[in-house]
Amino acid sequence: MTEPITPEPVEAPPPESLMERPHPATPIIKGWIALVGLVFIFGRDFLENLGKSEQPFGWGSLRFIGIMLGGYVLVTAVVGYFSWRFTRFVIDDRQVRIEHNFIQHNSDKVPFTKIQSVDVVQPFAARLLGLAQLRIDVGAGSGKTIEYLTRARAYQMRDYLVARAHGQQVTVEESVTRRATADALHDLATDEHVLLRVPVQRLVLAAVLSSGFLITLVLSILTIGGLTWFRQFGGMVGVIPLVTGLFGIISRDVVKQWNFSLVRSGQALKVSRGMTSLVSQTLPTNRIQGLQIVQHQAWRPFGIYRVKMDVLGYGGGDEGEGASDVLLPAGTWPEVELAIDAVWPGFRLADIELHGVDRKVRKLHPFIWKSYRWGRNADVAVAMNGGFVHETKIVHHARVQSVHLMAGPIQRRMGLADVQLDTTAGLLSTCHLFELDEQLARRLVLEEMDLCRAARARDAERAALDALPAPSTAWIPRTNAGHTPYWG
Amino acid sequence: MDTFAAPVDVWKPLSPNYLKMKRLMVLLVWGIELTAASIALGWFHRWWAGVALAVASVLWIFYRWHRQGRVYRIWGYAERETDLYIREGLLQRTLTVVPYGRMQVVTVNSGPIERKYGLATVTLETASAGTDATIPGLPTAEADALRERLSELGEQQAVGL
Repeated sequence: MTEPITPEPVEAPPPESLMERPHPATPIIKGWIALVGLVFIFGRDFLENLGKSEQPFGWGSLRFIGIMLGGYVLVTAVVGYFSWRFTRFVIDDRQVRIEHNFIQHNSDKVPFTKIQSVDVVQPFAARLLGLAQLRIDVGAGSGKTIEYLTRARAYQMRDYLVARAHGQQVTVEESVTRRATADALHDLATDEHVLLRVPVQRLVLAAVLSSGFLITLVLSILTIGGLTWFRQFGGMVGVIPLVTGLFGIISRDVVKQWNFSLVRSGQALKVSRGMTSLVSQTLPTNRIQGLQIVQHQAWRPFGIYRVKMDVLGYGGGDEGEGASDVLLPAGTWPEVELAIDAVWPGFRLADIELHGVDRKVRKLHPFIWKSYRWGRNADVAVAMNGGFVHETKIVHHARVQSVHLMAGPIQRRMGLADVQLDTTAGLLSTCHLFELDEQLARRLVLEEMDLCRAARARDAERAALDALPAPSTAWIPRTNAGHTPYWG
Repeated sequence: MDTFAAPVDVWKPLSPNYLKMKRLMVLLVWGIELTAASIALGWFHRWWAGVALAVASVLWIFYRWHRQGRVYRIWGYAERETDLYIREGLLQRTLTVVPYGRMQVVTVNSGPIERKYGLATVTLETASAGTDATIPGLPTAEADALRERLSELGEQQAVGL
């Protein structure tokens, strides 16, 4: 009983991190965005039901809608105020933590090494007030959002997080002082330069000539023509969804990609785009699993291509606002090569010898057999196929998860087989080498494993080089504006 | 040379009990359904229609029974130093290669009927949705041993995404 009570060995608590609150205008912006969204949905619904409603549209229903909207805005504003009041975050030298303590208590801690990319998104309302959202993508789930910060603060935090995500040991102050912002409005620092910009005319041309747009347009014209011919003007309402679809394509391919520019920023790449909402997206080049070059049939005479990338964690929910998998929305071939070179310095698609498939494939695919091509070197596998949309997929061997050799009954009779390379689940996630000779296909599959291993080993070396602190490493031979060549 | 031959020596087969189980399932599932259908057809429609369906059913069940043997012989797996190879599929034939270092999770699964036959299913998950690598019908002890080997090799050779 008299034994002295030895106090529990208490670890010295780490110095309390300074928690910050988002900008006080946050609830107003949130309320505004909710209102715009609601009006948009109601408006579309209203237009589509225009012909169907039996009662004539009167002032009574307008007042009802007005009261509904007013109530909704009030509720959103109150909820928004409290959720702002109880939201705190900290980004410092040790951690990223976001806490929401309204009704549901929830604390997110993001390890620096798990950050896949960081985007700064400015919806129209926020842009007017000079505020921005910080989105931290972690490759799983929907990512973490801090909304809203002042624009400059969001950019600073973005730069810091991206540096940490690349494995550099920098402090917040270092990161902030190192960056001398040349042009805050366009998010361009002094050490950055613009690789390419996409002119708006070309965006419009590409959107209008894309297969989806052309098909919808032809359908609309046929419907309108048919209805006029048979004097069935009441059915015109049926055209509204088609027209909405056309606007959807324009919105996705033109409005959201407006002023698209690709910027080299030290080790990272940045995309900024958008007409109403402005998005500044950081592309984690070391997380890009594969690339896809797409060319719609009607783009061929104009030589327009689109480049998409497969990034771990993308391709999920909200594609509109933040992360998008478009590396180049509409570009000429030299621009495509430039974009690919920015992602994988030193790699040129033209260096890879492409092989066609055997003539006997003609019987299986009479129209597009000539478009099947494949190629491979020590670093990548390339596969092409045609049809309405010409696709070229490039997969890096170091990113391949598994390989399949596949053949159906007809293919086996003809001595053909497909090869499939899987990368992590994403938009492109598989690369098919179609209709190869079966012995060749088997050889490719068995050799692929050795190629993957070798490529991974080189990749690990490169990652070790990249993890060194960036500024004071003049003794490491570097090319391409401070980027170690990927294809060593 | 056969396109789908094993990379080394021969494919390791599944347990013969797996074939027995699959054949029992054919008898049970098709047998019960088709018997009921034949009786119903003979009772409510014409007796000879029921008999005709019964004859066709016997042929069909025999075909399915026979086919299970061919499917079973296609199944096989092989382990090499760094990768696991799996062959499957009678019509759409597939040879899957998964590097041990890419495996995220290795699961051993056994349902009530499988347990009755002393069988277990080994499933490999990677970070890719396309990698659906499953080895069904291994004897329980072999499945556990395989899982241990794969997990250990996977840890040794683990690589980042």
